[in-house]
Amino acid sequence: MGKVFNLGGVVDPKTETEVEHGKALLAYADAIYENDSIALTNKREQVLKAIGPSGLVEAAATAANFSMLDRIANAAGIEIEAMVVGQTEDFRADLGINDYVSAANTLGN
Amino acid sequence: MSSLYSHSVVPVRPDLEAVHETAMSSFSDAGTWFNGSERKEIVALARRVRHREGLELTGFVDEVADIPLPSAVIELTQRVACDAGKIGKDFYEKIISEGLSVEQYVEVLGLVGRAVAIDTFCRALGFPMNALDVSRPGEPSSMRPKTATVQHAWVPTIPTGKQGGTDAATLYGDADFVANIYSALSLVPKEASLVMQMGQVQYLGADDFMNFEFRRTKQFSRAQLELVAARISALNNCFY
Repeated sequence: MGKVFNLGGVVDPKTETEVEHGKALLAYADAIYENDSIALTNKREQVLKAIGPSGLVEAAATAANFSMLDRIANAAGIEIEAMVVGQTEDFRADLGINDYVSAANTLGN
Repeated sequence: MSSLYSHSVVPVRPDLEAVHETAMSSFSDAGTWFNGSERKEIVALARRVRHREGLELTGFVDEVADIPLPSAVIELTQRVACDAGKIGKDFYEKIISEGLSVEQYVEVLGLVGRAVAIDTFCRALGFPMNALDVSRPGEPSSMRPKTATVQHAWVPTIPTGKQGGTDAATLYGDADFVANIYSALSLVPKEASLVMQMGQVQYLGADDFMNFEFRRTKQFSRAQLELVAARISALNNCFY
């Protein structure tokens, strides 16, 4: 069995995710979306120190990708694939994901 | 001729740079339902509103040229750029009721989504913004896939397999399964294709989806990748 990570850190950055350098990566992701360029520079430097230049580029590419896909998913009104709905049921409510506007596209709420 | 990220002091993969160069160029080309100057204007408008939200890009230049766009296009562009997490079906129906075609709606999603991706990448790395090309002449192709139908989204999409016929074969190849996110824009196949190309290079390809040991560099594991992805999706209030 693989390592278990704590998804709670995704919605509550104070929660330990057990992902290596997870705190630095979460703080970096947040800073990309906040309007404080100095904080973003600091968080970028922390990620660079933690995972190096190629890791930093991959983190930025990931943030870029989901900035694109999330917008498309939300605005096109797509449903989650049926097989995934059941697999994610146990943690969606705990994480508050079922309260998103876009949840209605799958859950019909 | 310098490449898009030749100024970078961190190593940007050639395939990543290439897919962003393709995207930047596409913004000024005639599309399927908008011409080149309209497409460029939509992207410039999205960048303007994000800049005003404080999501600064180094060396930001406002490239809005006051090209006439329908008010529904402007409203949609602004919402997708800055507040897509609050878009519900009522907003979609309102925009369509104002005279925008569903095909145009889909093309705007592709343009704004892809532009935000590139700008997010640049902002994340402290890069200067990439200037838009001069718009190129040409008329929109107005090609609508015949097989597109409403299935798993508000907007029609091309079904996979036999049901999708040549439309599916052209866009999806011989794939039996395509994630809903990658078929979401298939009503405008050109946009859907560009989104898929970016997704494969910025995230991972379908062949690697179930590979939990996947990593492009030893410094960035699949777990780290998914953590960043999940946090960004939470910030975007994205259920998908």
